[in-house]
Amino acid sequence: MKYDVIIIGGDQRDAEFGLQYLKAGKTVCLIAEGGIIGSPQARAAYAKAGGIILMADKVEKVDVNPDGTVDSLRTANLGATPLKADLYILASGRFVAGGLKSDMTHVWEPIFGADVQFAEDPESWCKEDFFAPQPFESFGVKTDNDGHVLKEGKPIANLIAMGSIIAKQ
Amino acid sequence: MRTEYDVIIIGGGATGAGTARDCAMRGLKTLLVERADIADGASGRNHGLLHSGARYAVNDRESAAECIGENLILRRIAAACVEETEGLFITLPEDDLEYQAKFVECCKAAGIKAEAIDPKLALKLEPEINPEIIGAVKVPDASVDPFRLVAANVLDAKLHGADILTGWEVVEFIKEMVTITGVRIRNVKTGETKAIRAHYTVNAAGIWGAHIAELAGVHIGMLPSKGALLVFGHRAAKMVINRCRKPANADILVPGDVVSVIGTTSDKVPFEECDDMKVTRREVEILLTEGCKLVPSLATTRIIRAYAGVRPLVADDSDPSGRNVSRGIVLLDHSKRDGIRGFISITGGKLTTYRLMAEMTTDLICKKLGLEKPCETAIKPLPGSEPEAANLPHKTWTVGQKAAFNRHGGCVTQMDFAQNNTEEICECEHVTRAEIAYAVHNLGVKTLDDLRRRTRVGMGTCQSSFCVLKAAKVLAEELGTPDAAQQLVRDFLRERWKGIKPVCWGDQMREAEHMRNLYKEAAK
Repeated sequence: MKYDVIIIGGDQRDAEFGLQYLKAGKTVCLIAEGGIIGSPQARAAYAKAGGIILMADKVEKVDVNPDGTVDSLRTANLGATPLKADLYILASGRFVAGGLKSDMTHVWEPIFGADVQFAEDPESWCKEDFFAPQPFESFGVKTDNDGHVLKEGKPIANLIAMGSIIAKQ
Repeated sequence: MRTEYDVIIIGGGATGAGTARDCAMRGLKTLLVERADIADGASGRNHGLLHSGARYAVNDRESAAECIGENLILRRIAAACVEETEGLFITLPEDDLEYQAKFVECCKAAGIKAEAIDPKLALKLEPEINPEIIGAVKVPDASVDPFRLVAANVLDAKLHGADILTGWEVVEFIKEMVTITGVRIRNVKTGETKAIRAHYTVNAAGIWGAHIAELAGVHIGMLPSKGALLVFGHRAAKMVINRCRKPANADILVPGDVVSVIGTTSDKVPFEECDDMKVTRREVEILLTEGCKLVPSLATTRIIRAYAGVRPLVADDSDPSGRNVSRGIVLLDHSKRDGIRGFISITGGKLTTYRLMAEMTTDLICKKLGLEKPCETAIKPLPGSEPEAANLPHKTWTVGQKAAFNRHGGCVTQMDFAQNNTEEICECEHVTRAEIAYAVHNLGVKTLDDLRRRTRVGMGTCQSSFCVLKAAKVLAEELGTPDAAQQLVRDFLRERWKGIKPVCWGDQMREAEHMRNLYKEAAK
């Protein structure tokens, strides 16, 4: 299956963003593992405009072209059927939504293996005071100035990051 | 409140609360003074293990015998606080199996029913243990809720006429020549001070007892020893699991309520750190690595919290270097030891032996006062633990009522489960409005943290993420200060965060971020 844009994410803003593409005449597919969180209206408007939602589905495999760009995605529910797009948008959120994973010492981005910015010393991931801004909230995937996701230091030309998954300075 | 007592007890941990109960039951006019809240120190920061004594059998037979004696008593008098899980001492391939034979023999010598069983049978009894085990011994360990235990002792002390002051600290001893005749106490919030007199003052302040002793003009050589523990998000095992080897780091897993606790470490720390124990990532790593050897599924179980307590180890009086530590219970009669009359210190010991420590202390006071009244704390059940409680009509109860019964035993009958009181405030632990109201009006609750120690509110898997607002509202209403709710929320979240921070990764990182998303604006 081929779309103009595939968005990986499930926030209502992802649906709203998808709607803008639909209005511009593009075909859009939203892969929403946890369903669309937030306004039901945003979801309805997106669906009414012809947007596709793969509800409760998640990306399990990424096929990569020799030049490092994303060729296609495979999801849990669609199995061997590849999903292709001209542009992929990574909007899978931070830790709560599962866009970033962590263990005792590392933080990683599980779908594309993108470069992630995080503090080396795990003791410094949190502040003593609950109400202080927490360092882990600035962790995220690294991007270039145009929003392209970096992997091994190089931008992936057809993958951009959106929302809280982006590392904060 | 009177200003003259027979006995003032300093410290609201298990020992202080037990001593207050014992003194009050023997008819002494008793006051307990605690600077924070009951079970706020080491009494609330331990495994929650009712030792069978097996752990000490090889190295310290006296402690082992004390433990098994008290273990059997507490199963009876504190039935509502004890869960009879039983325990296993397992031998892993890397451990010396010969130790097991010696261990069983020493247990038997101390009067502990220890039975070596086939590892296959052990795996049937407790399928969660490491399947590689080469040996297993069944012992009568149990799980005890230390908060409930201390609260029940305090409640019974009150029912026998004792006064309890929390939030007051001792700032000075009142002395006449070489006799201590009372204390000056200060309200930690308002700064108000009061002088209170008594024939005897008991120092039962745990590690802080060293400071109390200094105030009284005597020296007790104490060595603060930090023990860190981890709380896992569910019951990873149904029995207490110990390692059958010389006691070392992280070799005990205790299931308690809806969680399990692994511990501990043992490190000397300076006195200045005792008020604010922080668990490091290194300690977490040790506990996790060793814990997984006992129960492999811990590797994939969410760690919801880390905490640490300070053991009040006492340097042996006979050793001037202070390196030799006295084992077991230390009862110091300062009139004999230091020539200071009217002052007694009780320290060392274990949570399991708190009642015996209280009995020894009260015996000494009674002897000095010439009072011949036998101790009854080993016979009379604590409030809620009366045998009749088992006959209550559990089957018709709501989940919240059952949970309250599990926590408070027969005292559940004093809770008002009327229609609008059955609403669950804390869903992890099924704490209802009725239970909160009971705790506020009977168990001396002032903050959400106090409420947590009485009811387990906010102690479950969500660590208060979903209940803190509801709980604060209900508590503020019951306290009659509805405007205080916001401050209660802020204080409680800060307190909960201390334990979440050291284990903030994986799924707990998700929980932490979620908690921040919900409440980060609450400070404004």
